[in-house]
Amino acid sequence: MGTASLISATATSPNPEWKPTSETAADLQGIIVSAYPMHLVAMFIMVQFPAPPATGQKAWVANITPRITDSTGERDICLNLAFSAAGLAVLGLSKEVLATFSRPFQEGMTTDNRARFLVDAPATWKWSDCASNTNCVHAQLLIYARTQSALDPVVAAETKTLLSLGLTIADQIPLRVNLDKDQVRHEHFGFADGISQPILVDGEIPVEKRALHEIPVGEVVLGQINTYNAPAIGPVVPNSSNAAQYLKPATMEGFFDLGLNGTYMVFRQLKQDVAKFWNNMKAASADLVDDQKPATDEWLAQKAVGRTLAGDMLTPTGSADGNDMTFFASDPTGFGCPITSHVRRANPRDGLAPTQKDTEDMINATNRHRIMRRGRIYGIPIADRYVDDGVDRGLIFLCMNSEIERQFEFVQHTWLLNPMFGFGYNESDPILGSKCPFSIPSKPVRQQPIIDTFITPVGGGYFFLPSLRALRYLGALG
Amino acid sequence: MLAIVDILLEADPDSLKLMRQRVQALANREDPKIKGAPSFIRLQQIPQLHFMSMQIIEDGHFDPLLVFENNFEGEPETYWQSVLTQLSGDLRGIFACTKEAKEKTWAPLFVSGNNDSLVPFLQAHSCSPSAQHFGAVANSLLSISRGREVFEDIQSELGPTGSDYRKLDAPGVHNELRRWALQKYEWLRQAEAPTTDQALNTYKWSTLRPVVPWLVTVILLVALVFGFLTIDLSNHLLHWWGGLPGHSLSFHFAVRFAVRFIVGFFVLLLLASAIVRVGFALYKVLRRLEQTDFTQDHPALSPDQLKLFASQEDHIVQNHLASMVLVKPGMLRGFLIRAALRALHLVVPLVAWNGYLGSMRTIHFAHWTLVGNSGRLLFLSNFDGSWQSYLDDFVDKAAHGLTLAWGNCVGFPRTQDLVLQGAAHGTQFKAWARQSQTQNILWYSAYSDLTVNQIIRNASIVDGLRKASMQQKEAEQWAQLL
Repeated sequence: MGTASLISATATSPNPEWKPTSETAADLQGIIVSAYPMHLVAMFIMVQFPAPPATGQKAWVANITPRITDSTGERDICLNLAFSAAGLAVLGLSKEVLATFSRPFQEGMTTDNRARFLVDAPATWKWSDCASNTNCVHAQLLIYARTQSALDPVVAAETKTLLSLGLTIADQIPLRVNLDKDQVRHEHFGFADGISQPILVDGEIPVEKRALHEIPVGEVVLGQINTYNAPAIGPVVPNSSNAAQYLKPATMEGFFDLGLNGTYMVFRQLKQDVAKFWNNMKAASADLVDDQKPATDEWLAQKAVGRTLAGDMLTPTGSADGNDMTFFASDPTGFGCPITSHVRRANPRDGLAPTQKDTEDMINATNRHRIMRRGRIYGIPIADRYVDDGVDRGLIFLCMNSEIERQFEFVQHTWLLNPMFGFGYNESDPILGSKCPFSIPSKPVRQQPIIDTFITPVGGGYFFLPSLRALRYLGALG
Repeated sequence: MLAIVDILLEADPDSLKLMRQRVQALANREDPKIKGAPSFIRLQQIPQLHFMSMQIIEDGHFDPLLVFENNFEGEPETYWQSVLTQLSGDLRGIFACTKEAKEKTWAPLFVSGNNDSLVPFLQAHSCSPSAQHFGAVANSLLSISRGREVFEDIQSELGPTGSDYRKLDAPGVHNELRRWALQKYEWLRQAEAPTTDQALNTYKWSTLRPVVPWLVTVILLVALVFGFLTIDLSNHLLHWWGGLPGHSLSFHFAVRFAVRFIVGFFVLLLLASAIVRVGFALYKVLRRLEQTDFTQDHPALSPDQLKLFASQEDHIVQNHLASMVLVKPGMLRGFLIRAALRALHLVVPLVAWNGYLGSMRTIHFAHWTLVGNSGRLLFLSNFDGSWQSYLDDFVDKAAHGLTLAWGNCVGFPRTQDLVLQGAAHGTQFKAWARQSQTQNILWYSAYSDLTVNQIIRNASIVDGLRKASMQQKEAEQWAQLL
């Protein structure tokens, strides 16, 4: 099957999206299967647990679990809950059990080696998942509602509950959605966001039958079949105390599956400097050309992102609607969508294939690094994009994956921030990366403005989003 | 021409600690790992050196093995002279801790105060790879550094906007940049020998060319023996038939030829069927082994070891991987691993001369070497990007070749028909690879800022500048490299 059939497969015969059985749906937290598109307001509460011997955290988990949203249907209010490794330790999971979680999760996002790998400076962060950090977050409570008036009382009630049990709030971030007239979400720089997502399909569907964005459900949901045709490995607990009462048996004798239907959730708080972005785009585009015409700041910004403000992919002849295009056939050298632009780094599709016959393998390889994004913006939109108003605004990047190293960290290190990505030389992601040149393939020679830094990570961590069964188990820990 | 040579020496177990200290002392001096401190002062002075590493591989079943990896260009003897100019004292101290240094032939070399050359010792203990791969095979250190200089100068010449060049067409850009470059680089005026194309072509056939005379000889011999055999057989048959009286000579010859042909055909058929039967029987044995060999589903990974790897990796553009695994026991496995590595040795230059193994081009130098009477398999690689991305490339883009090479080793994930499955069991394969990995103590890259892709990109730019003129299409493609 060549690329042509791969593309047409996407257009004509996509596989049905994965649907959990009713039993699984009752076990899965809702955020896994839905971005809650109708819930336009949200609050992320970063919870800290009191140090043992205090036991309020256990009571809190037991108390809140019945209110956590599963995947069985629509809810007016959606509540989801995830824990850091430090949080699970305070909750009472033993070292032996913690050691069965994925290594990046156990270690946290901010170890020296990992910070170097992810090009982060966590010393300046406001919060993290790290046990040694004074602002260590133990749990992320995500609350979504359709309206602000519906959200406020829930947030107040949940806050009251957790404070009354002796827990504290490290930080809380009100989240919002900026919709354009077509109901498309935009981030603060003004670009349509969240367009390209993987589509979860049944793990039994062989790779050659999957369409462009389809990945096996185990790439996100632990315990389900992943890209290697094996169940995604999650944490387990030995058969002791009350494990058997709440959890399903694991594949290995004597253990129960704590990970099944859970996922790893990556949080990053990315502060955006909108005025700096647009002023830099204006200054850096001053002497550039868009074909024969003088370039504008919007032209440069769109080249940096790789899409138009409305979200259409840039192509050599203009832009294309939708998300079905591949790069090798239509834009191999990046005259439309620059090879080192943000969207092309984030998902190179078949763009890195050396020859036509490699394109399908390349898409399959690329699809082994997909992440399910659930990010939202915080802070009010800027009134005049060229004038700094001093408001703290940005994006809470939130993604789910079953293997942090192969998915989130790979995307961050090997694609987005790789200085040598796609024949680039000492460049970085023009949107996320630090100040560096950005090559825009042009005729007869490339243009290469210097792009500044506009996005600064100010917090982040790795969290485990348990299944409902696992939540009940955690709440009942002895 | 690029070359890979390992020095493999067995540590004297009683001197292991001292050997480790001495290798570490050399590593600390060359690579102080202190911000701002000058590093690789002496290794940079070795003009033929691309990559170098040293590690001590420990294994419960053997005495520790010192592995001194050398990836260089030119003749080994010249290279060793340059190495010893810089590291003679260190190497003498390290080698003195090996069993080989205690042997009668070599012991005098390591008596304190002896300053005789270590070249004979190095040559006597040199191991050539069983199979190897080069990413940028046509590029010498000189061409790599010239390529980098030209690339960076062109970037500033073009500036952020493309400056005046953007008013030209592509052949015009080439023409103007060539004029600019000829003024700037004296060496660009001299003809390049060999050219990139010549070097690539030489490399492409380098393993097969020496085999051709042997192959021709064997084919001729077989044909000759076979010819005699069939002539003899058909003569017997004709004799038995009683000749062909009363027919013309030409008819006689025609019949003789036909009989000979038919006899030959049946002999061939018999032979072929015998070969097929033996092959099939062996294949059945192999399939049984593949289905029943013990595997290791969850190779144990020590968190401390993983932390150590993480602390040493991802400081420069490239990373290093050193691994040692046991070869599976049995005659068939022993034969297969030799045959597989031999096949890779012969074929890799032919199919991967442009640096691409499948669709991956991230390896500068990599090789497999059978060591210890083929009981163990050593793998050493200098590659671009993170360990995770390298191993994922193995799984996603080169699983067949990897499985062929490693599939006959202990603990490797279950294979099918030698090249299938195996490395495709991604999670298991990556854990196995990590577990078999040994931390390098010393590791040096002569161009820590360049990927294989960038070296080849730079070389293509220089090759273009050497051309007096270009047609529209060629010039357009060349200009896109800038």
